[in-house]
Amino acid sequence: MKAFYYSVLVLLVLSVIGVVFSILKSSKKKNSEVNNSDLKKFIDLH
Amino acid sequence: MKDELAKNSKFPHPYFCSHPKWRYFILTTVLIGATMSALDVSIANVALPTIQNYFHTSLSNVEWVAMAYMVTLTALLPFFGRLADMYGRTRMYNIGFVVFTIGSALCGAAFSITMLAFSRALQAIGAGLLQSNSVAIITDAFPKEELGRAIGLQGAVQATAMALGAFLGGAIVSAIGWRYIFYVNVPIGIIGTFMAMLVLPKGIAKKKEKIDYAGAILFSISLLAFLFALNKGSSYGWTSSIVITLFGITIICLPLFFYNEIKNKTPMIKLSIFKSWGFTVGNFTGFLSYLIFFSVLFLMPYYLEMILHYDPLVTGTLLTPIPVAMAIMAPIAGYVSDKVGRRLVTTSGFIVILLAIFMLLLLQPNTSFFFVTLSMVVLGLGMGLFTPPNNSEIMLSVSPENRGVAGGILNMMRSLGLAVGVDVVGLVFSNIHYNYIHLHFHELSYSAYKHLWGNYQLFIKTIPRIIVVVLL
Repeated sequence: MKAFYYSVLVLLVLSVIGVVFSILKSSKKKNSEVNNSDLKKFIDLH
Repeated sequence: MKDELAKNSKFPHPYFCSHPKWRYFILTTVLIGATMSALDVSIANVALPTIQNYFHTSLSNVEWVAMAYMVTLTALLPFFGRLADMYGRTRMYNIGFVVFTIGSALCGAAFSITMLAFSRALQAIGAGLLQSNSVAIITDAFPKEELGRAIGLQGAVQATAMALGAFLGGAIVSAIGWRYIFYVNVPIGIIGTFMAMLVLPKGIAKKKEKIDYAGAILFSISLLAFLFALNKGSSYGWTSSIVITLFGITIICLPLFFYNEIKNKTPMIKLSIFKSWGFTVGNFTGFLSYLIFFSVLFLMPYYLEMILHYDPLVTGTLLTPIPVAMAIMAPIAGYVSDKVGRRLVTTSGFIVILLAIFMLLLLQPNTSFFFVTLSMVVLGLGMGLFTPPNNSEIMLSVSPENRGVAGGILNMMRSLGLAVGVDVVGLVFSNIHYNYIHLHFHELSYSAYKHLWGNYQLFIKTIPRIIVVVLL
Protein backbone atom coordinates (compact mmCIF):
# COMPACT_ATOMS: atom_id res chain seq x y z
CA MET A 1 0.00 0.00 0.00
CA LYS A 2 2.90 2.34 0.79
CA ALA A 3 4.11 2.37 -2.81
CA PHE A 4 0.57 3.00 -3.99
CA TYR A 5 0.08 5.89 -1.55
CA TYR A 6 3.31 7.63 -2.50
CA SER A 7 2.50 7.31 -6.18
CA VAL A 8 -1.00 8.74 -5.63
CA LEU A 9 0.56 11.52 -3.55
CA VAL A 10 2.67 12.50 -6.59
CA LEU A 11 -0.53 12.59 -8.65
CA LEU A 12 -2.20 14.74 -5.98
CA VAL A 13 0.59 17.31 -6.22
CA LEU A 14 0.28 17.32 -10.03
CA SER A 15 -3.50 17.74 -9.74
CA VAL A 16 -3.04 20.77 -7.47
CA ILE A 17 -0.63 22.25 -10.06
CA GLY A 18 -3.26 21.57 -12.73
CA VAL A 19 -5.98 23.32 -10.74
CA VAL A 20 -3.71 26.32 -10.06
CA PHE A 21 -2.87 26.71 -13.75
CA SER A 22 -6.52 26.30 -14.75
CA ILE A 23 -7.43 29.11 -12.36
CA LEU A 24 -4.53 31.25 -13.61
CA LYS A 25 -5.69 30.65 -17.17
CA SER A 26 -9.19 31.74 -16.23
CA SER A 27 -7.96 34.92 -14.57
CA LYS A 28 -5.96 36.04 -17.61
CA LYS A 29 -7.47 38.45 -20.08
CA LYS A 30 -9.32 36.55 -22.75
CA ASN A 31 -7.30 35.88 -25.90
CA SER A 32 -8.74 36.90 -29.19
CA GLU A 33 -10.62 33.88 -30.44
CA VAL A 34 -11.18 33.31 -34.10
CA ASN A 35 -14.71 32.44 -35.04
CA ASN A 36 -15.88 30.58 -38.13
CA SER A 37 -19.53 30.64 -38.70
CA ASP A 38 -20.31 30.00 -42.33
CA LEU A 39 -19.69 27.47 -45.01
CA LYS A 40 -17.94 29.94 -47.28
CA LYS A 41 -15.24 30.51 -44.67
CA PHE A 42 -14.95 26.78 -44.11
CA ILE A 43 -14.44 26.10 -47.80
CA ASP A 44 -11.92 28.92 -48.06
CA LEU A 45 -9.95 27.38 -45.20
CA HIS A 46 -9.82 24.07 -46.99
CA MET B 1 -25.55 31.58 -51.13
CA LYS B 2 -26.34 27.92 -50.68
CA ASP B 3 -27.11 27.47 -54.38
CA GLU B 4 -23.92 29.19 -55.28
CA LEU B 5 -22.02 26.93 -52.90
CA ALA B 6 -23.86 23.88 -54.17
CA LYS B 7 -22.46 24.60 -57.59
CA ASN B 8 -19.03 25.19 -56.17
CA SER B 9 -16.77 22.46 -57.47
CA LYS B 10 -14.73 22.57 -54.27
CA PHE B 11 -17.63 20.90 -52.52
CA PRO B 12 -17.92 17.41 -53.98
CA HIS B 13 -21.61 16.76 -53.39
CA PRO B 14 -24.18 19.59 -53.57
CA TYR B 15 -26.53 17.85 -51.12
CA PHE B 16 -24.14 18.27 -48.23
CA CYS B 17 -23.47 21.96 -48.71
CA SER B 18 -27.11 22.88 -49.22
CA HIS B 19 -28.27 20.94 -46.15
CA PRO B 20 -28.89 23.10 -43.05
CA LYS B 21 -27.03 20.58 -40.89
CA TRP B 22 -23.92 20.52 -43.09
CA ARG B 23 -21.69 20.91 -40.04
CA TYR B 24 -22.97 17.65 -38.57
CA PHE B 25 -22.15 15.74 -41.76
CA ILE B 26 -18.59 16.96 -41.37
CA LEU B 27 -18.60 16.02 -37.69
CA THR B 28 -19.90 12.52 -38.51
CA THR B 29 -17.17 12.02 -41.09
CA VAL B 30 -14.51 13.09 -38.59
CA LEU B 31 -16.03 10.79 -35.97
CA ILE B 32 -15.60 7.77 -38.26
CA GLY B 33 -11.85 8.40 -38.33
CA ALA B 34 -11.75 9.03 -34.59
CA THR B 35 -13.72 5.87 -33.82
CA MET B 36 -11.55 3.79 -36.13
CA SER B 37 -8.28 4.86 -34.57
CA ALA B 38 -9.73 4.62 -31.04
CA LEU B 39 -11.07 1.14 -31.61
CA ASP B 40 -7.89 0.03 -33.30
CA VAL B 41 -5.58 0.79 -30.41
CA SER B 42 -7.81 -0.88 -27.82
CA ILE B 43 -8.44 -3.90 -30.00
CA ALA B 44 -4.82 -4.32 -31.08
CA ASN B 45 -3.34 -4.26 -27.59
CA VAL B 46 -5.71 -6.88 -26.28
CA ALA B 47 -4.31 -9.23 -28.93
CA LEU B 48 -0.62 -8.77 -28.08
CA PRO B 49 -0.26 -11.96 -25.99
CA THR B 50 -2.02 -13.98 -28.74
CA ILE B 51 0.25 -12.44 -31.40
CA GLN B 52 3.29 -13.27 -29.25
CA ASN B 53 2.22 -16.93 -29.11
CA TYR B 54 1.34 -17.07 -32.81
CA PHE B 55 4.77 -15.86 -33.97
CA HIS B 56 6.62 -17.66 -31.13
CA THR B 57 8.45 -14.48 -30.33
CA SER B 58 9.70 -12.73 -27.20
CA LEU B 59 7.88 -10.13 -25.15
CA SER B 60 10.40 -7.45 -26.16
CA ASN B 61 9.71 -8.20 -29.84
CA VAL B 62 5.95 -8.13 -29.51
CA GLU B 63 6.23 -4.87 -27.56
CA TRP B 64 7.46 -3.31 -30.80
CA VAL B 65 4.00 -3.81 -32.25
CA ALA B 66 2.67 -1.36 -29.66
CA MET B 67 5.80 0.81 -29.55
CA ALA B 68 6.01 1.25 -33.35
CA TYR B 69 2.51 2.70 -33.36
CA MET B 70 2.85 4.97 -30.35
CA VAL B 71 6.30 6.36 -31.14
CA THR B 72 5.63 6.96 -34.86
CA LEU B 73 2.34 8.66 -34.09
CA THR B 74 3.71 10.93 -31.37
CA ALA B 75 6.80 12.01 -33.27
CA LEU B 76 4.96 12.88 -36.49
CA LEU B 77 1.81 14.62 -35.23
CA PRO B 78 3.02 18.27 -35.32
CA PHE B 79 4.73 17.72 -38.69
CA PHE B 80 1.54 16.32 -40.21
CA GLY B 81 -0.40 19.22 -38.72
CA ARG B 82 1.98 21.63 -40.42
CA LEU B 83 1.65 19.78 -43.75
CA ALA B 84 -2.13 20.07 -43.42
CA ASP B 85 -1.84 23.81 -42.80
CA MET B 86 0.22 24.07 -45.99
CA TYR B 87 -1.53 21.65 -48.34
CA GLY B 88 -5.10 21.56 -47.03
CA ARG B 89 -6.59 19.62 -44.16
CA THR B 90 -9.10 17.67 -46.24
CA ARG B 91 -6.42 16.38 -48.57
CA MET B 92 -4.27 15.21 -45.66
CA TYR B 93 -7.30 13.76 -43.87
CA ASN B 94 -8.29 11.72 -46.93
CA ILE B 95 -4.73 10.48 -47.37
CA GLY B 96 -4.81 9.53 -43.67
CA PHE B 97 -7.90 7.37 -44.20
CA VAL B 98 -6.31 5.57 -47.16
CA VAL B 99 -2.95 5.02 -45.42
CA PHE B 100 -4.61 3.81 -42.23
CA THR B 101 -6.79 1.36 -44.17
CA ILE B 102 -3.83 -0.02 -46.16
CA GLY B 103 -1.79 -0.26 -42.94
CA SER B 104 -4.62 -2.20 -41.28
CA ALA B 105 -4.87 -4.63 -44.20
CA LEU B 106 -1.11 -5.20 -44.10
CA CYS B 107 -1.24 -5.77 -40.32
CA GLY B 108 -3.91 -8.41 -40.86
CA ALA B 109 -1.87 -10.10 -43.56
CA ALA B 110 1.44 -9.91 -41.67
CA PHE B 111 3.54 -13.06 -41.99
CA SER B 112 6.17 -12.01 -39.46
CA ILE B 113 6.41 -9.89 -36.34
CA THR B 114 8.73 -7.49 -38.22
CA MET B 115 6.15 -6.98 -40.96
CA LEU B 116 3.49 -6.45 -38.31
CA ALA B 117 5.59 -3.80 -36.53
CA PHE B 118 6.28 -1.95 -39.83
CA SER B 119 2.60 -2.19 -40.79
CA ARG B 120 1.68 -0.73 -37.39
CA ALA B 121 4.05 2.16 -38.10
CA LEU B 122 2.25 2.68 -41.42
CA GLN B 123 -1.06 2.61 -39.57
CA ALA B 124 0.35 5.23 -37.17
CA ILE B 125 1.21 7.49 -40.12
CA GLY B 126 -2.43 7.24 -41.23
CA ALA B 127 -3.66 7.79 -37.68
CA GLY B 128 -1.35 10.81 -37.34
CA LEU B 129 -2.83 12.38 -40.48
CA LEU B 130 -6.35 11.72 -39.15
CA GLN B 131 -5.67 12.91 -35.61
CA SER B 132 -3.77 16.08 -36.44
CA ASN B 133 -6.67 17.19 -38.65
CA SER B 134 -9.79 15.96 -36.88
CA VAL B 135 -9.99 18.68 -34.20
CA ALA B 136 -8.86 21.31 -36.71
CA ILE B 137 -11.61 20.36 -39.19
CA ILE B 138 -14.26 20.49 -36.44
CA THR B 139 -12.94 23.87 -35.25
CA ASP B 140 -13.06 25.23 -38.79
CA ALA B 141 -16.62 23.99 -39.33
CA PHE B 142 -18.36 25.09 -36.12
CA PRO B 143 -18.93 28.59 -34.77
CA LYS B 144 -17.39 29.02 -31.35
CA GLU B 145 -20.84 29.04 -29.70
CA GLU B 146 -21.34 25.42 -30.81
CA LEU B 147 -17.77 24.20 -30.83
CA GLY B 148 -17.83 22.84 -27.27
CA ARG B 149 -20.80 20.64 -28.14
CA ALA B 150 -19.09 19.30 -31.28
CA ILE B 151 -15.80 18.53 -29.54
CA GLY B 152 -17.76 17.07 -26.62
CA LEU B 153 -19.56 14.70 -29.00
CA GLN B 154 -16.22 13.71 -30.47
CA GLY B 155 -14.89 12.98 -26.98
CA ALA B 156 -17.99 10.92 -26.13
CA VAL B 157 -17.71 8.77 -29.25
CA GLN B 158 -14.02 8.17 -28.67
CA ALA B 159 -14.52 7.27 -25.03
CA THR B 160 -17.26 4.81 -26.05
CA ALA B 161 -14.97 3.28 -28.66
CA MET B 162 -12.26 3.02 -26.03
CA ALA B 163 -14.63 1.26 -23.62
CA LEU B 164 -15.90 -1.13 -26.29
CA GLY B 165 -12.54 -1.76 -27.93
CA ALA B 166 -11.11 -4.06 -25.29
CA PHE B 167 -14.27 -6.19 -25.16
CA LEU B 168 -14.62 -6.31 -28.94
CA GLY B 169 -10.93 -7.16 -29.28
CA GLY B 170 -11.24 -10.03 -26.83
CA ALA B 171 -14.35 -11.33 -28.61
CA ILE B 172 -12.82 -11.11 -32.10
CA VAL B 173 -9.53 -12.73 -31.05
CA SER B 174 -11.29 -15.64 -29.37
CA ALA B 175 -13.98 -16.08 -32.06
CA ILE B 176 -12.23 -15.62 -35.42
CA GLY B 177 -8.57 -14.86 -34.71
CA TRP B 178 -6.22 -11.93 -34.18
CA ARG B 179 -5.90 -10.98 -37.87
CA TYR B 180 -9.51 -9.81 -37.92
CA ILE B 181 -8.88 -7.13 -35.31
CA PHE B 182 -6.96 -5.37 -38.09
CA TYR B 183 -9.18 -6.43 -40.99
CA VAL B 184 -12.18 -4.91 -39.18
CA ASN B 185 -10.71 -1.47 -39.98
CA VAL B 186 -10.74 -2.07 -43.72
CA PRO B 187 -14.51 -1.72 -44.36
CA ILE B 188 -14.74 1.15 -41.85
CA GLY B 189 -11.80 2.84 -43.58
CA ILE B 190 -13.39 2.43 -47.02
CA ILE B 191 -16.68 3.91 -45.77
CA GLY B 192 -14.77 6.74 -44.08
CA THR B 193 -12.78 7.49 -47.25
CA PHE B 194 -15.94 7.72 -49.37
CA MET B 195 -17.71 9.81 -46.73
CA ALA B 196 -14.74 12.21 -46.60
CA MET B 197 -14.72 12.48 -50.42
CA LEU B 198 -18.46 13.22 -50.46
CA VAL B 199 -18.74 15.53 -47.48
CA LEU B 200 -15.48 17.42 -47.01
CA PRO B 201 -14.50 20.16 -49.45
CA LYS B 202 -11.66 19.30 -51.77
CA GLY B 203 -8.28 20.34 -50.51
CA ILE B 204 -6.85 23.48 -51.99
CA ALA B 205 -3.10 23.91 -52.03
CA LYS B 206 -2.21 26.92 -49.94
CA LYS B 207 0.55 29.28 -50.85
CA LYS B 208 3.72 27.36 -51.53
CA GLU B 209 6.04 27.37 -48.57
CA LYS B 210 9.25 25.51 -48.06
CA ILE B 211 8.85 22.45 -45.85
CA ASP B 212 11.01 22.67 -42.75
CA TYR B 213 12.61 19.24 -43.03
CA ALA B 214 15.44 20.12 -40.64
CA GLY B 215 12.93 21.12 -37.96
CA ALA B 216 10.83 18.01 -38.54
CA ILE B 217 13.86 15.71 -38.33
CA LEU B 218 15.33 17.39 -35.24
CA PHE B 219 11.97 17.37 -33.49
CA SER B 220 11.26 13.73 -34.34
CA ILE B 221 14.74 12.57 -33.27
CA SER B 222 14.57 14.40 -29.94
CA LEU B 223 11.08 13.09 -29.22
CA LEU B 224 11.90 9.53 -30.32
CA ALA B 225 15.03 9.49 -28.15
CA PHE B 226 13.05 10.86 -25.18
CA LEU B 227 10.25 8.29 -25.57
CA PHE B 228 12.69 5.39 -25.95
CA ALA B 229 14.68 6.57 -22.92
CA LEU B 230 11.50 6.69 -20.84
CA ASN B 231 10.36 3.32 -22.11
CA LYS B 232 13.67 1.55 -21.62
CA GLY B 233 14.70 3.30 -18.39
CA SER B 234 12.96 0.83 -16.11
CA SER B 235 14.29 -2.26 -17.87
CA TYR B 236 17.87 -1.16 -18.77
CA GLY B 237 18.34 1.06 -15.70
CA TRP B 238 18.14 4.85 -15.63
CA THR B 239 21.92 5.20 -15.41
CA SER B 240 22.68 2.71 -18.19
CA SER B 241 24.75 3.98 -21.10
CA ILE B 242 21.90 3.45 -23.59
CA VAL B 243 19.37 5.47 -21.59
CA ILE B 244 21.86 8.26 -20.83
CA THR B 245 22.81 8.41 -24.54
CA LEU B 246 19.13 8.67 -25.51
CA PHE B 247 18.56 11.49 -23.02
CA GLY B 248 21.76 13.11 -24.32
CA ILE B 249 20.42 13.01 -27.89
CA THR B 250 17.24 14.74 -26.68
CA ILE B 251 19.24 17.41 -24.82
CA ILE B 252 21.33 18.14 -27.94
CA CYS B 253 18.56 17.97 -30.56
CA LEU B 254 15.88 19.96 -28.75
CA PRO B 255 17.84 23.26 -28.50
CA LEU B 256 18.94 22.78 -32.11
CA PHE B 257 15.29 22.37 -33.06
CA PHE B 258 14.33 25.61 -31.29
CA TYR B 259 17.28 27.44 -32.88
CA ASN B 260 16.17 26.17 -36.29
CA GLU B 261 12.57 27.24 -35.66
CA ILE B 262 13.67 30.76 -34.69
CA LYS B 263 15.94 31.13 -37.73
CA ASN B 264 13.74 29.41 -40.30
CA LYS B 265 11.38 31.64 -42.29
CA THR B 266 8.83 28.84 -42.64
CA PRO B 267 9.27 26.81 -39.44
CA MET B 268 7.44 23.58 -38.69
CA ILE B 269 6.07 25.07 -35.46
CA LYS B 270 5.65 28.82 -35.38
CA LEU B 271 6.87 29.50 -31.86
CA SER B 272 4.74 32.64 -31.78
CA ILE B 273 1.66 30.45 -31.16
CA PHE B 274 3.03 29.82 -27.67
CA LYS B 275 2.63 33.54 -26.91
CA SER B 276 -1.07 32.78 -26.55
CA TRP B 277 -1.68 32.06 -22.88
CA GLY B 278 -4.75 29.95 -23.72
CA PHE B 279 -2.74 27.75 -26.08
CA THR B 280 0.33 27.27 -23.86
CA VAL B 281 -1.45 26.78 -20.54
CA GLY B 282 -4.21 24.77 -22.23
CA ASN B 283 -1.63 22.33 -23.58
CA PHE B 284 0.23 22.20 -20.27
CA THR B 285 -2.91 21.45 -18.25
CA GLY B 286 -4.01 18.99 -20.94
CA PHE B 287 -0.65 17.23 -20.61
CA LEU B 288 -1.06 17.12 -16.80
CA SER B 289 -4.59 15.72 -17.08
CA TYR B 290 -3.46 12.89 -19.39
CA LEU B 291 -0.43 12.22 -17.19
CA ILE B 292 -2.70 11.83 -14.15
CA PHE B 293 -5.30 9.81 -16.07
CA PHE B 294 -2.84 7.29 -17.51
CA SER B 295 -0.96 7.05 -14.22
CA VAL B 296 -4.17 6.02 -12.46
CA LEU B 297 -4.76 3.38 -15.13
CA PHE B 298 -1.21 2.21 -14.46
CA LEU B 299 -1.58 2.10 -10.69
CA MET B 300 -5.09 0.75 -10.17
CA PRO B 301 -4.42 -2.81 -11.36
CA TYR B 302 -1.74 -3.02 -8.65
CA TYR B 303 -4.21 -2.01 -5.96
CA LEU B 304 -7.08 -4.13 -7.30
CA GLU B 305 -5.07 -7.28 -7.94
CA MET B 306 -2.34 -7.27 -5.33
CA ILE B 307 -4.15 -5.59 -2.43
CA LEU B 308 -7.80 -6.47 -3.01
CA HIS B 309 -6.91 -9.75 -4.78
CA TYR B 310 -9.36 -9.33 -7.66
CA ASP B 311 -8.73 -11.26 -10.86
CA PRO B 312 -7.84 -9.42 -14.11
CA LEU B 313 -11.42 -9.66 -15.40
CA VAL B 314 -12.81 -7.84 -12.34
CA THR B 315 -9.93 -5.35 -12.59
CA GLY B 316 -10.82 -4.60 -16.20
CA THR B 317 -14.49 -4.25 -15.28
CA LEU B 318 -13.67 -1.84 -12.45
CA LEU B 319 -11.70 0.38 -14.83
CA THR B 320 -14.59 0.54 -17.33
CA PRO B 321 -16.56 3.26 -15.42
CA ILE B 322 -13.82 5.74 -16.38
CA PRO B 323 -14.54 5.82 -20.15
CA VAL B 324 -18.27 5.37 -19.53
CA ALA B 325 -18.38 8.44 -17.25
CA MET B 326 -16.26 10.34 -19.77
CA ALA B 327 -18.64 9.42 -22.59
CA ILE B 328 -21.60 10.71 -20.58
CA MET B 329 -19.94 13.88 -19.32
CA ALA B 330 -18.06 15.03 -22.46
CA PRO B 331 -21.09 16.23 -24.50
CA ILE B 332 -22.66 17.78 -21.38
CA ALA B 333 -19.42 19.64 -20.66
CA GLY B 334 -19.28 20.81 -24.26
CA TYR B 335 -22.86 22.09 -24.12
CA VAL B 336 -22.39 23.79 -20.74
CA SER B 337 -19.10 25.39 -21.80
CA ASP B 338 -20.84 26.90 -24.84
CA LYS B 339 -23.32 28.49 -22.44
CA VAL B 340 -21.24 29.56 -19.44
CA GLY B 341 -17.74 29.77 -20.89
CA ARG B 342 -14.93 27.30 -21.36
CA ARG B 343 -12.64 28.49 -18.62
CA LEU B 344 -15.06 27.94 -15.77
CA VAL B 345 -15.77 24.40 -16.99
CA THR B 346 -12.09 23.46 -17.47
CA THR B 347 -11.25 24.69 -13.95
CA SER B 348 -14.22 22.76 -12.52
CA GLY B 349 -13.06 19.68 -14.44
CA PHE B 350 -9.58 19.81 -12.94
CA ILE B 351 -11.05 20.28 -9.46
CA VAL B 352 -13.10 17.09 -9.99
CA ILE B 353 -9.91 15.29 -11.13
CA LEU B 354 -8.23 16.50 -7.92
CA LEU B 355 -11.19 15.16 -5.92
CA ALA B 356 -10.84 11.77 -7.62
CA ILE B 357 -7.13 11.60 -6.75
CA PHE B 358 -7.94 12.57 -3.16
CA MET B 359 -10.45 9.69 -3.06
CA LEU B 360 -7.68 7.33 -4.20
CA LEU B 361 -5.62 8.44 -1.20
CA LEU B 362 -8.44 7.18 1.03
CA LEU B 363 -8.31 3.64 -0.37
CA GLN B 364 -7.54 0.94 2.18
CA PRO B 365 -7.01 -2.83 1.92
CA ASN B 366 -10.64 -3.26 3.00
CA THR B 367 -12.23 -0.47 0.95
CA SER B 368 -15.63 -1.35 -0.47
CA PHE B 369 -16.23 -2.21 -4.10
CA PHE B 370 -18.65 0.73 -4.27
CA PHE B 371 -16.10 3.35 -3.16
CA VAL B 372 -13.49 2.09 -5.65
CA THR B 373 -16.06 2.27 -8.47
CA LEU B 374 -17.15 5.72 -7.30
CA SER B 375 -13.57 7.03 -7.41
CA MET B 376 -13.23 5.74 -11.00
CA VAL B 377 -16.53 7.39 -11.95
CA VAL B 378 -15.38 10.71 -10.44
CA LEU B 379 -12.12 10.53 -12.40
CA GLY B 380 -14.04 9.85 -15.63
CA LEU B 381 -16.41 12.74 -14.92
CA GLY B 382 -13.47 15.07 -14.25
CA MET B 383 -11.72 14.09 -17.49
CA GLY B 384 -14.99 14.38 -19.42
CA LEU B 385 -15.63 17.81 -17.92
CA PHE B 386 -12.12 19.11 -18.52
CA THR B 387 -11.09 17.80 -21.94
CA PRO B 388 -13.68 19.10 -24.48
CA PRO B 389 -13.66 22.78 -23.39
CA ASN B 390 -9.88 22.70 -22.98
CA ASN B 391 -9.48 21.36 -26.53
CA SER B 392 -11.88 24.00 -27.89
CA GLU B 393 -9.98 26.73 -26.12
CA ILE B 394 -6.61 25.54 -27.43
CA MET B 395 -7.89 25.37 -31.00
CA LEU B 396 -9.62 28.75 -30.86
CA SER B 397 -6.57 30.47 -29.42
CA VAL B 398 -4.61 30.09 -32.69
CA SER B 399 -5.35 31.55 -36.10
CA PRO B 400 -7.07 29.23 -38.63
CA GLU B 401 -3.91 28.79 -40.72
CA ASN B 402 -2.11 27.30 -37.69
CA ARG B 403 -4.86 24.93 -36.53
CA GLY B 404 -3.29 21.87 -38.12
CA VAL B 405 -0.07 22.20 -36.16
CA ALA B 406 -2.07 23.20 -33.05
CA GLY B 407 -4.15 20.02 -33.38
CA GLY B 408 -0.95 18.02 -33.80
CA ILE B 409 0.56 19.49 -30.62
CA LEU B 410 -2.69 18.95 -28.71
CA ASN B 411 -2.73 15.26 -29.64
CA MET B 412 0.99 14.91 -29.00
CA MET B 413 0.40 16.06 -25.39
CA ARG B 414 -1.82 13.01 -24.86
CA SER B 415 0.91 10.60 -25.90
CA LEU B 416 3.51 12.49 -23.87
CA GLY B 417 1.20 12.45 -20.84
CA LEU B 418 0.97 8.70 -21.16
CA ALA B 419 4.71 8.12 -21.63
CA VAL B 420 5.83 10.49 -18.88
CA GLY B 421 3.05 9.52 -16.46
CA VAL B 422 3.53 5.80 -16.65
CA ASP B 423 7.30 6.04 -16.34
CA VAL B 424 7.58 8.72 -13.66
CA VAL B 425 4.85 7.26 -11.44
CA GLY B 426 6.11 3.78 -12.28
CA LEU B 427 9.58 4.81 -11.11
CA VAL B 428 8.25 6.16 -7.78
CA PHE B 429 6.08 3.11 -7.36
CA SER B 430 8.65 0.45 -8.20
CA ASN B 431 11.38 2.01 -6.02
CA ILE B 432 9.18 2.20 -2.93
CA HIS B 433 7.61 -1.16 -3.62
CA TYR B 434 11.05 -2.76 -3.98
CA ASN B 435 12.31 -1.21 -0.71
CA TYR B 436 9.15 -2.15 1.11
CA ILE B 437 9.39 -5.78 0.08
CA HIS B 438 13.03 -5.94 1.14
CA LEU B 439 12.29 -4.32 4.47
CA HIS B 440 9.26 -6.44 5.34
CA PHE B 441 9.57 -9.70 3.51
CA HIS B 442 13.16 -10.88 3.74
CA GLU B 443 12.07 -14.36 2.87
CA LEU B 444 10.94 -13.19 -0.55
CA SER B 445 13.96 -13.63 -2.76
CA TYR B 446 14.86 -10.96 -5.27
CA SER B 447 14.39 -13.35 -8.16
CA ALA B 448 10.90 -14.22 -6.98
CA TYR B 449 10.11 -10.55 -6.61
CA LYS B 450 11.55 -9.82 -10.04
CA HIS B 451 9.42 -12.54 -11.53
CA LEU B 452 6.33 -11.19 -9.80
CA TRP B 453 7.11 -7.64 -10.81
CA GLY B 454 7.89 -8.68 -14.38
CA ASN B 455 4.51 -10.37 -14.76
CA TYR B 456 2.80 -7.43 -13.21
CA GLN B 457 4.57 -4.99 -15.53
CA LEU B 458 3.58 -7.08 -18.53
CA PHE B 459 -0.05 -6.81 -17.52
CA ILE B 460 -0.16 -3.17 -16.60
CA LYS B 461 1.89 -2.06 -19.55
CA THR B 462 -0.83 -3.30 -21.85
CA ILE B 463 -3.61 -1.42 -20.05
CA PRO B 464 -2.45 2.15 -20.65
CA ARG B 465 -1.68 1.21 -24.21
CA ILE B 466 -5.15 -0.14 -24.59
CA ILE B 467 -6.39 3.30 -23.85
CA VAL B 468 -3.34 5.12 -25.12
CA VAL B 469 -3.34 7.57 -27.88
CA VAL B 470 -7.06 7.01 -27.96
CA LEU B 471 -9.29 9.71 -26.53
CA LEU B 472 -8.53 11.66 -29.59
